[in-house]
Amino acid sequence: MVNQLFHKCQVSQTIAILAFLLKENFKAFWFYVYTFFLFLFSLGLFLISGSAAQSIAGLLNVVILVNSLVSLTMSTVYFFNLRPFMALVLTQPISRTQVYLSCYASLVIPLTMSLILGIAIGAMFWGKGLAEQLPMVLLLLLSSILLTLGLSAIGFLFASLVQDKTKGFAFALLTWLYLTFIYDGLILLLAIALNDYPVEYLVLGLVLANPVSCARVLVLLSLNIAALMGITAYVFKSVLSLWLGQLIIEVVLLIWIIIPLIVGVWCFRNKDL
Amino acid sequence: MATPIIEVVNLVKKYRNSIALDNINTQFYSGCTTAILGPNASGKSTLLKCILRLVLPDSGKVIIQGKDWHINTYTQECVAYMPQIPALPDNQNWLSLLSLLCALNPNHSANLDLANELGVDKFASKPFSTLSGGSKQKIVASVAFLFPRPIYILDEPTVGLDPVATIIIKKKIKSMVASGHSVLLTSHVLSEVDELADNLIYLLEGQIKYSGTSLELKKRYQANNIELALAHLLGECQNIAG
Repeated sequence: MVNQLFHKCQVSQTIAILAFLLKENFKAFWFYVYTFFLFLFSLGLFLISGSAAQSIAGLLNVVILVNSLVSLTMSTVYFFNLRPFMALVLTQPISRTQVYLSCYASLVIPLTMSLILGIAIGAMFWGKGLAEQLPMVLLLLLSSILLTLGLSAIGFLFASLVQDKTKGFAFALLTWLYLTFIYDGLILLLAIALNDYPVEYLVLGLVLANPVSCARVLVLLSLNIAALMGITAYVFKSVLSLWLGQLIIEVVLLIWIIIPLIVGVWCFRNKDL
Repeated sequence: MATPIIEVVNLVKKYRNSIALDNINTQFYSGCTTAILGPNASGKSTLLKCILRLVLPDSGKVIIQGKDWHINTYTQECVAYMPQIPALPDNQNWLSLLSLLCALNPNHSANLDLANELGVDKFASKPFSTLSGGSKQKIVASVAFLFPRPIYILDEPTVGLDPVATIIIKKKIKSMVASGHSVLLTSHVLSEVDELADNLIYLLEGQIKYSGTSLELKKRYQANNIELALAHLLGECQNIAG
């Protein structure tokens, strides 16, 4: 009974901090700018290409680049900006785990809302194209939401590991560069170097080791646009069936959320504020 | 001999290139104010934050009311804190902060006496970003005294406050001490220390150079005020180091 009450109290404390920070973030300028930016791209790509399928392919690239950059850098900077507030809240009877998780949720909820609102409102102007491509739009949203959750968890982890804001930001920026640009290039070089050997399974494993590649491949597997696939998506499609491939990637993306969160909580519990 | 309300045992905190706290052993008692003094970067804030568990020491421990401060949220249930720099979320206001703090302390009702005395209600619904430094400091002070705690840790409590608010805070500190609470404070305003503190701890380069009553310190150096006594103490420390 006492344990149940304690647990209930912990949940309500976490929700109280989350609600407080959400109120703060939904009033923040960045939330509206980011939503509007995604809306503009969602609508603009359709107006330029005139086809919903091509709009999704274009949106995928924007989401992969911009969303991963925003999630990684924003989460790192957000954590550092929140540190004095965290210190203030931690002088109240609440655990560090609760504070960490509520702060994380207070960022990823507005980021996710921006994605859903920006892309969905833009897609509403697609007319018939939206009805035809609805499963693809939903898949794109799913993949970008999972990516947001994972990269924000990684950004929070970086901020928990280092004391200096500039260093944390630099880590986040370099990680973004590595995950979005350098990684695929390295895999391509590896595939060329090991041309004489069966490297499919190796490449497959390497795709899973990068959440950005995972998110990209998740959508590309269904899009069927070979020119956009890149080596990683191509190998994925040739080795695994569509459903099995998607399932594996979704599970791996979930792991990319859970592991950095667990490690981040552990680091935060041992961090000086 | 009274039982200490806080016991600091062999506390060591090292940063990359320096030792912030070098094997600190000290005790704090109920019903008295202890001022922790020292030049900048002497380890004052680190010591206070170690007691609060905001900074985790490399070794040593703190015992609060006979219990180890590792136990869950035990420290936070015993210690209230007023930070040196009031960092409050820009878009929030006193009312939303108050409702958050009440949700975090479901077993206590908020005591708004100090907030009312400081006139916090006048800007209760204004966003923190629009408030002056002094107004923010009033809010942080109100937060520290919002819920009953046996120990109050105040890091430079009167910095940035107008004279009226300073008097109100000092009065509050005295009344809390008179009712048996323990107050730990840091301050660079020595007249304030002279007025409020029963005990002094002087830190230099992470080591305690003096621990005792302010009267003893003045007596030791035959000084009329703490400022002069501390100047003598600092000179003595420098001579020893030299």
